[in-house]
Parts: sequence; structure tokens; C-alpha cells
Amino acid sequence: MEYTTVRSFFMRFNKDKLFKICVDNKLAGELKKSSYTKDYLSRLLVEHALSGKFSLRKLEILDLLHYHSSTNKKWNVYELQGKGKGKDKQFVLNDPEEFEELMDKELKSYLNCKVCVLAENNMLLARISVWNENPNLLLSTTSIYMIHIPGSSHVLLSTVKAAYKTYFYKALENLFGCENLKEIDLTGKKVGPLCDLVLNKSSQGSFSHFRLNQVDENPLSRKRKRDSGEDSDIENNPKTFNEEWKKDQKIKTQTLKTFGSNPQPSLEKIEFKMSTRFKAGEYVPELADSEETVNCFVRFKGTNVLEGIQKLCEHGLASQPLPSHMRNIHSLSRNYFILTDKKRPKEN
Amino acid sequence: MPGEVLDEVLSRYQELPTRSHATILVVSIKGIGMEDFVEAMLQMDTSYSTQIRTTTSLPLPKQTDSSEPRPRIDYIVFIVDLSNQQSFKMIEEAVKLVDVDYFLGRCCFILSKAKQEHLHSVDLNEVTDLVEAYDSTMFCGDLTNEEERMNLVEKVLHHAEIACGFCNDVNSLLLSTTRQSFTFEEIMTT
Repeated sequence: MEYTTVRSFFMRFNKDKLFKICVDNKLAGELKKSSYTKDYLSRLLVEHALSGKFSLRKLEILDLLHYHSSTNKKWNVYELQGKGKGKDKQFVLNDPEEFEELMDKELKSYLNCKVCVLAENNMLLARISVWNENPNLLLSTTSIYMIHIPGSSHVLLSTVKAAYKTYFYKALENLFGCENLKEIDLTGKKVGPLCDLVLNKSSQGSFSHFRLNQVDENPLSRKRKRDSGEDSDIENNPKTFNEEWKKDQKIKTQTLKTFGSNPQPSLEKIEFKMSTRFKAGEYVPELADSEETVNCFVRFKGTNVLEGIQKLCEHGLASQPLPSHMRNIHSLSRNYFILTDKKRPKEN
Repeated sequence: MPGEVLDEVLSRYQELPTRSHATILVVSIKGIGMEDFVEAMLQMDTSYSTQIRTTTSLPLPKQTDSSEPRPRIDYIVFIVDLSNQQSFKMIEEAVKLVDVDYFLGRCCFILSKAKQEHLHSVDLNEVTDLVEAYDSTMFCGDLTNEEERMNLVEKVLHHAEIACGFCNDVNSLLLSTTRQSFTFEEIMTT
């Protein structure tokens, strides 16, 4: 372990985190946090690490937890297809060590690597640091981070270098005993919503009411305002009268049917790639019968795109019923769609 | 068919007036401050009872037999937000479906955000031309600003009161003669 690598490792954390680690290891703490500089704290920790008092595993765990707590890391979702056929491997949550051993064994046959697994929040978090010639465990650029929810057939991975991809996927296929590791078109920055979309695929939208036990309420309890939407003052006031209450009511019921009244899982972007024929032939007669495909790419970006679409519908800015490729996004567990024309039947 | 067109047009003579009660119709798209405006109007203390009916477009939906009959509309407020093209387009279509009798001092146009020129996406001249073409009152003010909103509410209620006939000796046509013109007209001198 060289000084520079260890120091760059520690400098990645912010000052609060460094202070906390120092306090946990009884290195500092007599004075207030503000009286230390980040530089000093990191130097303390580096010296502590180099003198061998910080085990490598502890550093790995630090890195792993830090990666998972940061909110701007991109995760790709993979599906384990054909799982359970042949080998019967059940990864129990209280055995991250066994998982780690098995993973290490599988990966070692393909790559030079070191695996570290933690169990947290019902998920198995793994950090695999890969190296070419010199083992350099602390560099995060060559590390692959993985999340697996035990019992499910999905895995979340951070971006894997192209050189390692095939070997890594093969090793994972062997590890989970599945036929094929397929990348599904779902990416995002927040782990929770991604897991929600993938695990609860068939109970999103209005079906979420069944999953969250919001039907069959006690008829004697007070009517919940949640289902009737926010009661704006203008509706309740007897002195006002909305002339278009029927239309508004219709919009409300349609939106409720499509999206349900529970918060939507947050996706940062939804992309549509369209390759269709030119359809505005009435305005441009020359191209009316053109067979050429027109490529178009639409991207929706935001903090929670699904909720944005829901709000558009609620406020009457999106015409309902929505087309199926917008209406069913929450149940399709993907955020990259390719829309093409229906194939015309061959005319004889 | 003329009969069908008459059905859609908002007319003053299809119902009888309600005693000591003013019904104001606010025509405005959602999202430009209409709800705050209505709330502010209802907070004002008046000697007569008021009901405010809101719609986002004209013609008004046909009444089904089950609901109570629509009262006579005494005053109409059209709200245009100069930063929202949609609101102006809607108002342009809506004014065609209102009977001429309402334009004799019984309606007004509210121009929101008239001072914030950097937000304008509707040509101010177009709006003022429309208002002048219909010979109506125009009020300017920012509906998102509470002070200006209260100001507008007071003016509108004052006009509405006169339109309902609650002020002795003052008629809405009389009031409209005191109105300023906002477009330049060539004065012909003979």
C-alpha cells in the first residue's frame, strides 16, 4: 500500500466522514470537528493505515458503504435468466461470507480480483476490485459494485469495463446457476426505485393498492382524502361552482386508474427511440407514400419522471387515455423503449 | 342552424335574476392564478350574496336535468395571462360565444403580468385590440401578487355590483362612458 494511493482513497470522503472514522478509531476527537482540517484528518488516517492498524478489509468495507451512500452513481439492472435449473443455490441473507467465498472462487478462475460482501437492508452488497498486473485494491475506478437481492433473479451492477465484461458475466452465471445474464434496459441512480420496479413489476400503478393493503378499509373509518385527491378549497366552498366538474372528475378517475394514488418509483430518465415511417403525408404530399424510416429520439429527464407524467395528466395537459407506451411504463420495468411500426401484412 | 348556435351562446335573458345575489362567471385556464383570485373575491364583505362559477372554456357544458338549474350570470370575468399563449387563444374563442348584451359593461378582461414584459409571449397589442373590439373594461395586475390581486378584486366587485343593479342611479353603460381607450384612434375633425 503506497502512501499516495491510500491518501487519495481517504481524500474522497468528505470531512464529516473522516472525522467520524477518526473518532471511531480513537484517533482524534478531543477537539471539535471544526478545529481539524480535512488534510490533517486524512493524514492521520493514512498513517494509521500504513502502520498496519487498518485492515484492508475495513478499507474495502468503507469504500463499499461510501459508494452505496452516494446518490449519483449509475446502476444497470441485469436479469438472471434460467435461474434454478440444474444447480440449486439458495443464498441466505445471513450468510454473506458464503456468498463471498463462492463469488471469489468463481471470479478467480477468470480475473485477478478481490471480493468483499456485506449484507445490509435485505440486500447483498458486493465490491469486486479487479486488477491487471499490480494488485491495487483501493482504486475505485477498477472496482465493480454489485447489489443482489437474495431470492430474486435480478442483479444491479455499476458500469463494468468492456475488457472484463464477458468474463464477469460468465462468472456470475456460474455463481447463480443460471443460463444467461441479460442486461435489461433499466438504468437509474437510486437503488430503491429500481428494485421496486423490478421486483414489484406486476403491482405498480393502481395495482399497488392491493400490494400495500389499501383496499377493503374499515367502512366505519373516516373517508381518506388520499383517494379523492387533494381537496382544493375551491371545490369545497359552496359559493363557488366549477362548471366543468364532470370533465375534471373524468380526468381524475382516469389518472387514478392509470397511476394509482401511491407515489411513483422515481426514474431519472425515460428514453424512446422511434423508427417509423413519415406520417404527416397530408402536409407534405411528396413524402406521403415514402417508405423510408424516420429516426427520432425522445428523452424525458427529471427527478421523478413518472410522477411528472402523472401530474401532466392530472392537470389536463396530457390527453387521456395515454398511449400504451406511456401508460404502462411503470409495469414494464425498463426505461429505454424502441417504438417501431407494426409490420404490414404482405399484400398479394 | 341558427337555433343551435343560440344554444351555445351565453345569454342574459334565458333565466330570471336572483334577488340580492350576484353570480359571476370567471373564464380562465388553470394554472394562472384563477383559484387565488376566486378565493380573494369570496373573502370580500358584501351586502349581497355572491356565487362564482368557474370554467376553463366556453361554451358551458349542457346542463343535465339532475343538477339544479344554472342561475343567470350577472358578470363575466375573462382572465388572460400574457405569459401564457394558451390563455389568450382560449379567450379569443370564448368571446365569440357570449351574447352582445354582456359587452355593454357587464364583463371585463383581466390582463395578468402586463408589467413584466420579459415574460410576455402574447402580443400586448393583440390583446388590447381584442378588448377594444369588444368595447370592454380592462384591468391589469399580477394575479400572483397578493396586493395587486386584492386591488383587482375590489375593482371587479365594484363593477359587478353595478352590473347587477345594486347601486341606485348607476348603470353599467354609464360607467363604461368613463372608460379610457387604450388604442389610438384617429380623430377626424371636420
